[in-house]
Amino acid sequence: MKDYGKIYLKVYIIIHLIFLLLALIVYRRAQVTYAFIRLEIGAVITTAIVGFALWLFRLEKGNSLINTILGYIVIIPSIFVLRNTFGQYLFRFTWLIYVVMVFVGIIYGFAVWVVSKKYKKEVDDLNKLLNKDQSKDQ
Amino acid sequence: MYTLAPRDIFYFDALDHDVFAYTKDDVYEVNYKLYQLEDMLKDVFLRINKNTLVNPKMIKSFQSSINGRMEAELINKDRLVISRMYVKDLKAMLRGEKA
Repeated sequence: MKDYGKIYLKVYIIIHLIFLLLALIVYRRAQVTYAFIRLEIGAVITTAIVGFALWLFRLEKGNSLINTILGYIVIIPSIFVLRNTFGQYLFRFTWLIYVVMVFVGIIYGFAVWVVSKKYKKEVDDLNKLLNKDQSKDQ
Repeated sequence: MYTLAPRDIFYFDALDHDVFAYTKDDVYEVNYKLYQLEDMLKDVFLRINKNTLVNPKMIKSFQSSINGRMEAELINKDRLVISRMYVKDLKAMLRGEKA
C-alpha cells in the first residue's frame, strides 16, 4: 500500500500535466472549456489505474512476465476513462481508441525494454564483482 | 538447541514473526529478530530485501527478469529476490568497501 501510494503521487502529477495539455489542445481546436471537476475525476481515476499497472509491473512477487502482461491489460481501461473525460473533441472517431491502445502498447513496450536493459547492465556489473570477489578468495 | 557457524548459513529469512536460518540442507528457526541478526552479523550477511539476509559468499550468480526484478541464485540453487534499494549496498560489499 505504501509503494502504491508513492507511485500514485508521482503518476498523479504527470497525469495532471497531460490532462492540462489535452484540455489546452481541445480549447485551441474547438473553443471548448472543460469543467474542472470533470477533468479532476478523470485524472484521479486514470492515476489509480496507471498507478496500479505500474505497481503490478514493479511487483517483486509472482511471475515477472505475467506481471508485465497484466500491467498492460490493466492500463487499457484508462483509455476509456480518457475518452469519457474528453469526449468526442479528442476522440472524433471510435477507431481512434484502438490507435491509442496500440500507441500505449508501444510506449509500454519501450518502457519495459529500457527497464530490462538497465537492470541487465546492473546484473552484469554484479556478476563481474562477484566473479572478482570469488577469484580473490581462491 | 543448535549452534550454527555463520559461514555455514546461506541466508536468513523472516516469515511472519519467525526467522529461519537456511543451511545447505536444513532449515533452523532462530531466536532473534532479523534486524538483530543484521546488526550482529553485518560483516558477513547483507540485507537484500525486507525479509532476507544473505551470505554473499554463497551467491553463485545474479539474474534479472523482464520487469527489472533481480534475483540471486545461491550455490544450493535457491533463488532470492533482491530489492532495488539494496543493490547499492550489495555492490559496496562485493567491492569490499563494507566488509
